[in-house]
Amino acid sequence: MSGAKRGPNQRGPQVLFYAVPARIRLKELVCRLVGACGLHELPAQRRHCTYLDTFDRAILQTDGVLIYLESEQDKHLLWRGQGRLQASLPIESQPRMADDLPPSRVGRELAKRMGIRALLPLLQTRQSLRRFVKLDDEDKTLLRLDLIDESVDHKRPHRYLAVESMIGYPKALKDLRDGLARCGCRPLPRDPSHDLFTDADVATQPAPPWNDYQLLPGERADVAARLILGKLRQEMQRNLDGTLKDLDSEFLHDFRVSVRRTRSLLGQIKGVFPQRRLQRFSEAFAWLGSITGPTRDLDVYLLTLPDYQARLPSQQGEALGALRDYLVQHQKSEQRALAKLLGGARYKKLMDDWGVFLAEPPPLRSHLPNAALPVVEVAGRRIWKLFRRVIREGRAISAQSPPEDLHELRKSCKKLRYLLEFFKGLYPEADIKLLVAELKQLQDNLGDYQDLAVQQASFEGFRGGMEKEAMLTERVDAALVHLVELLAEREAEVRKEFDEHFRRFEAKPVRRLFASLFKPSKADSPEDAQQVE
Amino acid sequence: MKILASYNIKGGVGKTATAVNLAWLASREGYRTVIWDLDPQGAASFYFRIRPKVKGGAKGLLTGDRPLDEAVRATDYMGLDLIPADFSYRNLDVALQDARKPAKQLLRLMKPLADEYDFLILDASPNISLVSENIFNAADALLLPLIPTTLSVRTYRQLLSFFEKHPQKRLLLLPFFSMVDRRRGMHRELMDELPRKYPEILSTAIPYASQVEAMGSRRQPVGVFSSANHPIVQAYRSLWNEILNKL
Repeated sequence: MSGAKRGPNQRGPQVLFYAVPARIRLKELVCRLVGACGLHELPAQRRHCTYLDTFDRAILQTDGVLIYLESEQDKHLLWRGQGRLQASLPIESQPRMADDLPPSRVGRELAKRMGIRALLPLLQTRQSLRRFVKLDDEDKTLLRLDLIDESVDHKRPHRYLAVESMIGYPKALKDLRDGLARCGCRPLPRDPSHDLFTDADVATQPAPPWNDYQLLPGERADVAARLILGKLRQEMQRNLDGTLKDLDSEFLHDFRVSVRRTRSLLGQIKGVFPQRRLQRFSEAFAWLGSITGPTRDLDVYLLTLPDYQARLPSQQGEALGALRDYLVQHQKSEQRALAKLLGGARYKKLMDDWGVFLAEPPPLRSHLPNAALPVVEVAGRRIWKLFRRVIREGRAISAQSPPEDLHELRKSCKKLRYLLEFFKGLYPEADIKLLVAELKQLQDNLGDYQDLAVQQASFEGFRGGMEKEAMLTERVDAALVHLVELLAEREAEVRKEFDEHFRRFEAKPVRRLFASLFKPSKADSPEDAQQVE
Repeated sequence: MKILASYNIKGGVGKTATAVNLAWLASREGYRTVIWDLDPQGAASFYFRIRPKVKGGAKGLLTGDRPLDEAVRATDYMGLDLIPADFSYRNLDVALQDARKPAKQLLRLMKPLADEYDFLILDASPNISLVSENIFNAADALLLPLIPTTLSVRTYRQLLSFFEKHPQKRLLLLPFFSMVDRRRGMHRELMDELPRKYPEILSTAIPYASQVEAMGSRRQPVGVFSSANHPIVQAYRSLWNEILNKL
C-alpha cells in the first residue's frame, strides 16, 4: 500500500463503531475498558450535535456524515466518511455555504460536494460522551474510544462506542478490537447516525428526479398530462420553503424551472384540456414566471461575479467587488418582495385550485380532439412538429440574420427539449439521451449567445443603477465598461460558432433518429408527413 | 502540497518551535499537515511524544526499502502527522552522496505524500550541507528564524551569499525575527535597522517567551496549553497568516 496513490480521504484515522451489548452493565464495561484494555478515562463531555447536509444530500450520498458539534469547551465541524474521520475542525460558527469552510484540502473536498448548495440542519441531538484513550509510556495517544449516549428530543438514547485509530499504531487498534470482542461488543455495520435519522424520520436520500414517472404509450393523453403537471406542481411545492427562506439560490432556480416546464406543457399540448379552464392557470403561471425573474437574475449575477472578475485584469476585477454590494442589496429587497408574494394568498389559491384541477378524474367522453388519444401519439406528433420547426428556423439563419431569429430558434429548441424530457419514458432511453445531448450542444450555443446580449444590457443597467445610488466610482465604471466590451467580443465569437453547432444537430443520423421515433405515419397525420431531408 | 522548511545555519534560533507551532496551527485550520523531523536530535518528535525511530533508518528510506509514508505517525492532533527523526540522520549526508542526483533525493522521497497533505513542514538541522541543498531543492519556502543579534545576522548573510553562488529560482525566503527580547538594546536596534536592508523580513516577530520553553516539559505545541489570547500564540498565528499570504 505504501507508495501507491491514495485518494485524498484515505489518510484520516479509521473510525469503527461498536454496539454495547444489553447484557453488560455500563460500570462493568468501563471496568473492562480500563482494566483489560488498558485505557485511561478523560473528563466526560456533553455535546450538542447538528447534523448537516445539502437539500440534495450531497454529503450523505458520498457516504459522509457532517456534524457541527458544540460543547462547553469548543465548537467543531466533524466530517466522517468512507470509514474514516476526514476532519475535525475548530470552527467559530455553523457553516452554511462553501465560502464558510477553510480553504484547505478538507474544505475544498467538502465544497466540491456541496457546490452552490447550502448546508441545512437535518437533525439535532444531544450526546453524553465518556472519552477513553490508550497511551504509551511517553503518554502519546495511540487510539481513542468514545462511549456515547446520543438522543433526539430526550428520547431513549442510542448507546454506542466509537473507536478512532491513529496512523502508525496498528497494534493498539488490534488489541482493542480483540478486547471489545471479548466484552461482547459487536461492530456496527454502518455509521450510527443513520439509526438516529431513521428514528427522527430524516430522509437520507435525495428526492428522486421529478420526471421519474412511468408512462404507458396507450395512456390517455389527458391522464398523462395530469400526471406530468402534478409532478411539476410537487416540485414547485418541494422548493417553496427554501425559496421563501432563500436558503440557497437553487431552490428558486428549481422552482422556476418547474414553472417554465408547466407553462411549456400547457402551451404545447393543445386539445387535451378545455382552453377556457386552462386560460386562468396559464396566466397565473406566467405571473409566477415574472415575479420570480428579478431575484433569479440577481442570484445568477452574484453566483457568476467571480467569473466576470476573472475575465478582467486583476485591478479591475477587484474594483468589481463594489458591484457585489450593489447586487446583494438589490437581491435582498427583491427576495423580500418575492417571499411576500409566494407566501401570500394568491399563490396559495393558485396551487390549491391547480391541485384540484389535476386531481379531477378524466371525463369518460371528451369533445376535445386529443384528450382521449394515446399519449404516445399526441407526444410523438408534437415532438415531430417542433423538430421540423427547429430545422426550418435553423436553416433560415444566415450570417446576416438578426439576433431575434436566433432567439426564436432558442425558444423552439427549449420547447423541444422539454417535450423530449416529459415523454422520455415512452421511447428507448439511449435514443432520447443521444437526441437530448445533440440538442443540448445547440442550446448551449444559442443560450450563450442570448445570455451574452442580456448580460451586456444588465451590466449597463447596473452602471446606471449604481450611479443613481452613488456607488459608481471611476474604477468601477471603467471595469464595467471594459466588461461589457469583453462580453460583446465574446458574443460575436459565439455567433460565429452557431453554424457548426446547427450543422451538427441537423446531421443525417440525428434527423433519421428523430424521424424513426416521432414521424407519424401518413395515415395518422398527412400534413406532418413531409420529409425533413 | 507546499513544502516549507524551518531552517537556519545557526542552531538555537527557534527552528523546531517554529515548525511545531506552525504545523499545529495549519492543522487547526483544516490543512492536512505532516512534519518531517530531519534533525537527528529529534526535538520535534520529542514535542509530539513520538519515538525518534524510523525502521531501516536513513538508508532504508533512500534505497526505497522503507517508503517514507510507512514512517508516518499520527500526532495527538487531528490532521497533523509526523515523520520521526532517526539517529541515523546524522549520517544522511554520507548516504545521500552515494545516490544518483544526490541533491534531489529528499524531494523524490517526499513526492508520494503530495496527494495526501496540504503542507509538509521540514524541521532541518542547523548546518549547510548536502541535506540542506536537498531541502533548498525541495522546499517552496524557507522559514528562517533570526534572533536579532550580530551572529544570527551574520549567518543570514552567509546564506544569502550561498544563494548568490547557487541560485534557487523558485525558493521563497521568509526570514522573521525570533526569540525577540525588546528589553535588549541590540534587539531593538537590529529590528529597526535590518528590515530596511532586507525588506523580505516578515513583519511578525516571535517574542522570547517562557511558554516556548514550557513546550519541552509539556511536550505540546504552545497553542495546546496556552490561551488563544496569549501573545506567543497570537504571534505564531500572525506569522502563519503572513506566510500563507506570501505563498
